Amino acid sequence: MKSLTKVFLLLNILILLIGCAAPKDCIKCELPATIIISPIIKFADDTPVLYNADIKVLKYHFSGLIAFRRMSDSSAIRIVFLTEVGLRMMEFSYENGIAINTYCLDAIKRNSTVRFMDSFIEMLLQQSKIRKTCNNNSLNKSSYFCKLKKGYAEVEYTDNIKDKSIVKEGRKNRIEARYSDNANLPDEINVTMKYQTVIHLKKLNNAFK
Amino acid sequence: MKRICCVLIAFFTFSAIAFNQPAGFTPVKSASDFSSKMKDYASKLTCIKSNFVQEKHLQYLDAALESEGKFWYKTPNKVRWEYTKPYKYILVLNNGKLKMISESSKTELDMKGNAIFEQVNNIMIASVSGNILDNKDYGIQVFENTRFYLILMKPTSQAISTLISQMELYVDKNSYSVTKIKMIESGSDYSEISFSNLIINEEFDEGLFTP
Repeated sequence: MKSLTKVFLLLNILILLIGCAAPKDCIKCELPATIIISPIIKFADDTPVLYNADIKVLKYHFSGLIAFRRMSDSSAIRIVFLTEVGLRMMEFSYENGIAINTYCLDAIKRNSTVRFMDSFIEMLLQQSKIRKTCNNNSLNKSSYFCKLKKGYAEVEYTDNIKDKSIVKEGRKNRIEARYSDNANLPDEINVTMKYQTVIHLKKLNNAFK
Repeated sequence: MKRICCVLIAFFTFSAIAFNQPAGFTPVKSASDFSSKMKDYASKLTCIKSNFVQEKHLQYLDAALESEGKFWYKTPNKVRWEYTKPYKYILVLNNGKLKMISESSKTELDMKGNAIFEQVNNIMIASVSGNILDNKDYGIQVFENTRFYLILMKPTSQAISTLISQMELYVDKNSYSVTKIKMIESGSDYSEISFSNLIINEEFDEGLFTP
């Protein structure tokens, strides 16, 4: 019995050590000050941006469009969800870290849907603060442990825009963005959320008149 | 006193007509002539192939989204909208079934179980085929200018009016084909679909409606 307890304790310690280890090839270091990581989508001006969205929730599969614009007369970002044929489904306004639903088509009006989209928008547009950092010099990449509104996430990116990617991973959500020609607007975003939801966004160029 | 009343009634009647009248258009002179020619066009129509440009005006963003593609119609109830720019998307209406194909998904719906879809389907088909004037689900007014007839349609059904507050169909005066559709939503958003390179009654592969 005693030997069994010892084995159990040793296993626990081993699991604890593995769990607390730094990611492979990373050297942990403390930051002298808090650093702000940009949101996944950042708006340099008031040019509207369009993404094609592919959403899988459980066995259901939807597609549509998401349009964003930072309004020139305020710091608010407005977001419109619509179908490919142009039917407006939902509208949100995002300001000071909070997304507010301003319109929802009656057929899909449910508190759970609105709350879900609220948290999706916040994931895309929220700034993150870095608490700790660890550098991976061999790949010229940096990994950061970021403090988010709820829990922590890991952010990875390189300064070279062509290879830039941001991965934020919390307990329930994971968001990954890849950038190519624009350091603020990713070409592709992959999001995994609760209820086995997978969202893929793809930037569409020259969509606005 | 009677004179003043008459003048006031005439003024308000004129104002009401003037406010409903779209800019650059006057009420059609011969409604029966227009109606019979429109019905004649609809009865002879078998199929349409066309390009289209869709402009979606999003008031909330103060921006207009532009997409384009190809359109096919075959009587009595087959329609295919194929968006090619800036995204790929296909919408097919075929004998009461709606099929939507995006780059990554395929969805099929039976419109018989969905009153709104069925009504939208009916109005889409009626709009492009020109078979619209007898539609009892809409209040209809017809105007004209030198190039177009303009059919203004206001839905009378509650189900449709939550989605569309008004539709405007622009009919070419020479060919009687519908060249532009404007759908005004219940807010201030609207979509404009302009057709170009219209080919009327030239057969094409029916497989397009069974993707």
